Amino acid sequence: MIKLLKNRQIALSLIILGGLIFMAIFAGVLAPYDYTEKDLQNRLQPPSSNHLFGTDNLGRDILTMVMYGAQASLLVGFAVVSISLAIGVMLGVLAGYYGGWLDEIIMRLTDSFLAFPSMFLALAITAFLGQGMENMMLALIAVEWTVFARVARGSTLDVKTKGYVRASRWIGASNAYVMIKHVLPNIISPVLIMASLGIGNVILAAAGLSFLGLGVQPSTPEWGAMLNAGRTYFTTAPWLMLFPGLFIMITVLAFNYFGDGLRDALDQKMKNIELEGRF
Amino acid sequence: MLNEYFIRRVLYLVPVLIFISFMSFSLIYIAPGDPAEIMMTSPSGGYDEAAVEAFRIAHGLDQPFYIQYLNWIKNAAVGDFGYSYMSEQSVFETVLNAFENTLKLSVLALAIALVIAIPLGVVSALKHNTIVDDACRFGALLGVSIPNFWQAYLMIIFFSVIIHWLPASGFGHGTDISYMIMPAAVLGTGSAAVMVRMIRSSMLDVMGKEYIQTARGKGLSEKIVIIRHALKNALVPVITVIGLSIGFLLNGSVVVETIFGWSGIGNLVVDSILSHDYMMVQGSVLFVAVIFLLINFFVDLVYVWANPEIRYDKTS
Repeated sequence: MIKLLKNRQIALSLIILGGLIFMAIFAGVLAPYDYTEKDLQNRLQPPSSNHLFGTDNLGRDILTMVMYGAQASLLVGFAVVSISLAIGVMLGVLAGYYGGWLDEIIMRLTDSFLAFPSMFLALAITAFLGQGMENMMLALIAVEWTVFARVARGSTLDVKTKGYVRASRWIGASNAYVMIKHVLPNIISPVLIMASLGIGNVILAAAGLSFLGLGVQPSTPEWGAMLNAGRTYFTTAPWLMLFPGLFIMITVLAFNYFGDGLRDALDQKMKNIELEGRF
Repeated sequence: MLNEYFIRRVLYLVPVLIFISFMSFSLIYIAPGDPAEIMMTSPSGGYDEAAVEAFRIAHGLDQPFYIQYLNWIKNAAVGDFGYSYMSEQSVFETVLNAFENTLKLSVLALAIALVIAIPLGVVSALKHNTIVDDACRFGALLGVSIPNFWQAYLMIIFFSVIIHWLPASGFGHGTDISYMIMPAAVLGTGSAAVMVRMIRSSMLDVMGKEYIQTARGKGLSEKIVIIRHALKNALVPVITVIGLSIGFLLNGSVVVETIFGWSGIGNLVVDSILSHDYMMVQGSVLFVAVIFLLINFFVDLVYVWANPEIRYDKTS
């Protein structure tokens, strides 16, 4: 653990992520204004000492909205990845451990979800379920779980051949015991790496859906929705789009940089797991 | 060996195709509204029961679920995806037309991506663990982390608003290349970021091989060793990158085509969703999934064909 923190890349990305999470949690205290506060006298003001990031078309302070926006983006990222991880790891371990027909069914199901380019699947699901944050999260889970299922299955197949796992079964350990005690701890590193890269991907995709008007509604502060609202004014008031976009980029970059550092630090073999450029 | 692999892969396609068609079809059933009611609702809010019923019968929506599915799949198999509830146009023709435009954009984007990614990937590998390598790797991470819609607007502000070089958006009858440059560049730089990493690791892998030592031992110049021996072999795994990039380009097309007003498949899906044109959404999603599945299938075959020694895990 301490060795990991000595890695410059990991330490740097953790500091940035810590800052973003801090900003999201304490948005209510840190933000200079109330995000619902409309000031029609001061619409579309460029960045100034009163409004560091300027104001939007309703006179709301953009810095304040960016801070609150971090809540939505990070919440969506963490929630979607945790749920996808739970589903994917469970199915992947079962498939890899038992093999046979169970493996066939789970893997063909995974293939089927992967057959859709992820953005089209997410779009189709949000379109038919209806707009809104919960539906968008469901759509993103449908896209994201397959990554974990594949990684977990691959690692399980690898662990299964190890002597200690065979020995454990030989002395009569139950399957559940072997999976929890031996398989899970050994697949944690690849899964953690994919989770970190996954959060970045999910935040990007969520922002994309909200940008298209199919995710978080414009009334709640969210970076993608802010970009969508700023489209109309992008030539006259580019700061409406500049700052939310910048924060999406910093956040996604920090998660990707962290996952990348983790991959280098944890396992040399893992260098072969390439970034899944899905979004 | 290859035949056996081929047959196994073809057999895997069958359940996946059934599943994706079922998923695409079921989408209409999870929708909150009844398409007949939505279509027959007048702008003032009310709808006529008789008209709704007539619409249902006309579009077969009164049949049980499985009959509708079987009818739909039977027609879809011969390229009949039905008609748009909105424009009454053939879904398949509209989708095909839009896909052709997406393909044009994707080819240009892929070319841009390769032009950026090959030199950067090679340099990154040759200068392994130096500051140049670090910069390339960081650049690649940055490239996958930039929201494409944001990048698109930054480019519009610069190239259209400030220096007036390129049109901000539009289709230009699909032949005017000036309309394609910006959307293709946004898509291309994103894919390039993914490719740089793969070319780098593939190149590093090859550089460690014995035949490179042999080539060097023969006294060949470093330039010839790199280009003729290393790069040629390193590009083989890059075939898979193209498969990966197709996914990246298709996903990117959704937002990028919408912003630039390019009449491709991404734009079509978004427009159809916003206008509740369910038949069009269903048809486009199924079409894209089938194309994507087949492309990945061929990419896999080419990869195995180019690397006969690759042992594929039999169960995956």
